Amino acid sequence: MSAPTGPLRELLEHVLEGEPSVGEEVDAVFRRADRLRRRRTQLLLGSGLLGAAAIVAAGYLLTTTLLPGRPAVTVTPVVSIPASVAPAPAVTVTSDAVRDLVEPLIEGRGLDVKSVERGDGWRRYHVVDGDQPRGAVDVAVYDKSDDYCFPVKADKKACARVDQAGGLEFVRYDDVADENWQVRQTIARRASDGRTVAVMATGKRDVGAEKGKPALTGAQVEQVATDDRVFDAFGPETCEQGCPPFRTPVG
Amino acid sequence: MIAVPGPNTRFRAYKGHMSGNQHEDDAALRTFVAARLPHLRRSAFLMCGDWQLAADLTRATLARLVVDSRRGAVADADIYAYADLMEACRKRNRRREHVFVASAGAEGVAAESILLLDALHKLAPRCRAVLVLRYWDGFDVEATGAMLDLDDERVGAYERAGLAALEKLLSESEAAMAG
Repeated sequence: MSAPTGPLRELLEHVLEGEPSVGEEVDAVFRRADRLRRRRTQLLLGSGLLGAAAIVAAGYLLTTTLLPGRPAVTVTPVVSIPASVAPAPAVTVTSDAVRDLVEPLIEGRGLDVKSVERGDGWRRYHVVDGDQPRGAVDVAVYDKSDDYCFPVKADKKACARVDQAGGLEFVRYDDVADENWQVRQTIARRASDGRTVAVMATGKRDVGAEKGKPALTGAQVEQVATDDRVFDAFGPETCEQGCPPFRTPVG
Repeated sequence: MIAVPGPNTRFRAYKGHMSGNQHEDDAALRTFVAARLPHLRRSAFLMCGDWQLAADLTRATLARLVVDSRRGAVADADIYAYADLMEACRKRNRRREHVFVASAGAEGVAAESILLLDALHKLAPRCRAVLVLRYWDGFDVEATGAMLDLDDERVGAYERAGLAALEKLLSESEAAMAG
């Protein structure tokens, strides 16, 4: 069906008298088109950014909600526990801040922590050299009053002369008399709150001079004991029951 | 007398397809816009009765045509332009009364023209759009239907109803003026 012609068109032509000139209208159209294109591009980019942000946020929420922070570690119970120490049940832990401080020093000497025992206020790290046992490192924390007396092995009534390290006072109790089983121990106490830490590294007993050396040197044991982070790593824990037997008891 | 195209004049030189050469495409677009702008603006004026509004709606329509043509989203530039313009006029007519506004520089408009515009604006928007596209722009029923999203029968029905209503309105106006 073709377009009609007739009087209506002629009538409409008269209506358009007084039409304004086109002038710069064509340029105005292209300027407007450029603005429109920019607006659409910005809208597209904005939508893309919003979409990406939403995906990142959703991913973050999903990962933090569904995934654990760190794989759980099952601590293997160890058979060679001194009779006086109540064996701790195997426990599942998500982190051990004390181990984080001790393990790098052990690994720095080419040794490894094979297994861990732990209880309220104490840890025992069993060390191996390859697949051979190399003793253990014990760490425990106690609450001691202001008048705490650092023990002297030779005189139970005397108090040891202390060394100072920052806000800490400490005493080293190294025993290297038996070359087949040496002990490195430091007791350190934080004067501000009476928290007292004992750190002891022992070699494997009666297996020869080489294996009898502790996993840490005396200086490293002192370093751990006088590290303020160890006090904080235990949090509110205090060693009261089942604590490991230290060569020099904290008392 | 304003130079207007004949009732069946179609600008088919530009179809909305891009050749891939940006300079050639822009030149073709500019030619199309320059050729079509006056006709689109007149159609918009017949639809809305206000030259300033008609110019604004036409600029907006052609700007959209340019942007969409550059990204190859226009199949038929004529259909796209008139469909977009009629839709813009229809939306605008919902929000304003049909009042004829002469251009700022116009010396005077004949009383018959005002009567015709008033009669045109008293029609339903669809009837008015069909009459403008068919009798002013010269599009056939198929193209008019494509622009207004109507089938051929509906275009015919709107056309008949619009013509009858327009004739009646004009007769009444002339009688009133004569009386």
